[in-house]
Amino acid sequence: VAGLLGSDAGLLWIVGGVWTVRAVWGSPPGFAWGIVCLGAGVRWGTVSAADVEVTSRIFGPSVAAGPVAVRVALSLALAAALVSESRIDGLRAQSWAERCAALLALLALVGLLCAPGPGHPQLNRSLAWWAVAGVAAVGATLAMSTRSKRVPAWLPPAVAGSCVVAVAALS
Amino acid sequence: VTLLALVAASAMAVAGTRLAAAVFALAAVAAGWKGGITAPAAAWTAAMAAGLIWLRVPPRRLAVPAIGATAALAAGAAGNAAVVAGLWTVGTAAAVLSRSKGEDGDRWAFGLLQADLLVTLTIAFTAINSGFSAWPARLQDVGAALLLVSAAARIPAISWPGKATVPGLLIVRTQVLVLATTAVRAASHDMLVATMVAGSAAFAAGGLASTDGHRDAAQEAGLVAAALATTGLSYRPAGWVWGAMAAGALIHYSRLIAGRGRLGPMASAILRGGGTGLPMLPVVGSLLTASLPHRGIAPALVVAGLAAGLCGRAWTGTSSDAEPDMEGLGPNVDSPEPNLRPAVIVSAAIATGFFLPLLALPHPPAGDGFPWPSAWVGAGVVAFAVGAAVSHPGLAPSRDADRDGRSITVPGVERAMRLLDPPGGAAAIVGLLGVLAAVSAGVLIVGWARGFL
Repeated sequence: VAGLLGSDAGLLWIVGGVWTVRAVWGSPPGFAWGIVCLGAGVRWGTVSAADVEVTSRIFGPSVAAGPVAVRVALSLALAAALVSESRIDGLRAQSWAERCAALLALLALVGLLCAPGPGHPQLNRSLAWWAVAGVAAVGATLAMSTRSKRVPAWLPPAVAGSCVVAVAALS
Repeated sequence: VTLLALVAASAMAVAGTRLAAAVFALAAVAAGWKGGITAPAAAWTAAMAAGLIWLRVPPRRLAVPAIGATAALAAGAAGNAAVVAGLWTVGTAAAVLSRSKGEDGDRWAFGLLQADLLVTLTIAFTAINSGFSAWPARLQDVGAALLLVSAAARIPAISWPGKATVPGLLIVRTQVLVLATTAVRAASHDMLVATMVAGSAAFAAGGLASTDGHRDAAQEAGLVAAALATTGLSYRPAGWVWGAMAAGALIHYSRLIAGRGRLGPMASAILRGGGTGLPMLPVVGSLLTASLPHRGIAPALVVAGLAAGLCGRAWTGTSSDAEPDMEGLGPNVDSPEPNLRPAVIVSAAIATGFFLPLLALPHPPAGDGFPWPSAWVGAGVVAFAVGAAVSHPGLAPSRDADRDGRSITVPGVERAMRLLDPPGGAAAIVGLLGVLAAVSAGVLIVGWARGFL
């Protein structure tokens, strides 16, 4: 939550917080999701979620800004992260901690990659983007959970990692 | 001053007095105060020795390993190749002497000696080709790479399962830190970038290790190498090698108490958290902050490696054969003894993992000035957490909690491990140590004859 609010080294807090909850409750941490969140930092050269929000306010959502190759790579990485989250199926977990962690993970994903950064003149627009993308991500992960379990466990992290490295090379 | 204090502390450890812990602590403070090339390694080696005695390890068990660690630190601080090889071999000889009896101890020692061949040959080659006073400035990239390979080969020996815990943590850990420091001093820009990536790769590989000790040793060494490299590259924030070694010491201490006392489950939870609360998190954050603003593939690889290491720590199952064999270390689960020492370690780990990132990491340009809890509130939260853990140990997950994650077995590792079996038993160990001693003596005599001492 502190990371999403734009605190120092926010990406680290977002990823570390979700992984801690999942590790303590014994569910898979979600490497693909983590590497894609940090990939937003790789895209803009910062470890701060606030910096990512400012750059996306100027240039547009991370997944839709920059050269076509970068957009494609980040879109693939986002898809891999969503498949990974639906494999974990944290929204249907038994404990509330895991469910909250899964919801925060999805909100962070759409906030970092899909929504334009918040600004005073366009705060409502940004929040609307965030809400719509968040609902879509939640719906997609819930709907895909059965099918995504057929995907090999190594595939989403491999795709996400490759795409983030490609984004770094192409940016 | 630091080396003299370490020698004095080693002598007190030989005498078996627990006052050695105070002198080791004094040596750690002296290293931090005086600074220097090997200051971080010296400070955290001395702190490790002091902490082990404080955790009730008998001082005599530390005597020979402490002498070996002092020799390794002296080799790291020396600027003349004529004496480096000799001092280095004294360190390894101390490790061989303090190995545990039996086949496992022989494998440990033989592996260490094989890794030392690379170091001794590198020293001799550099001395012959570039002169004795050129150490380590003219090592060049090949020499630096050989030292780093030798350091990487030693990592499993830092926390070898069984009775090699003390010499591993004192001598081998120090040797790894000294080798990495020496190699980075002589490395070119490209070599520093490669070291940064290799360090994060070691951190990632450590997360996949099948034993707790190997995981912790590999991740500490990886962070140290990456922090040394980013500092050498003038990336900011710099100087986090101190933090990496401090985090490593806390992680090793936490592992030693993880199976013991009422706070054991709490220590286990910290070790396998992989995120907030892990003492390594500030170092990971600093490395991410240092590498991310730079363009190219290398920073992305660093990010991927660090993320994989944290994720592996949070998920990969580890086997229980990593339990360190440390008689007399802390209270048992059913012991009525107070949990003061484990409580101090757990508190320090939590404080480091939660609050150091807030205080140490730079404020981002676009940060909105989020009002962090004050230091008093933070201290109160830590005190409450420790109190809750002491009074309700069931809050922490048990060490044996089910975990579906699997460690990854790399094909060929078992075959490579057979290289550690000494072909002629103890005779091969003595013979190989004799070869290293002869080469070191030869380098020393030639240096003396040519007036380079």
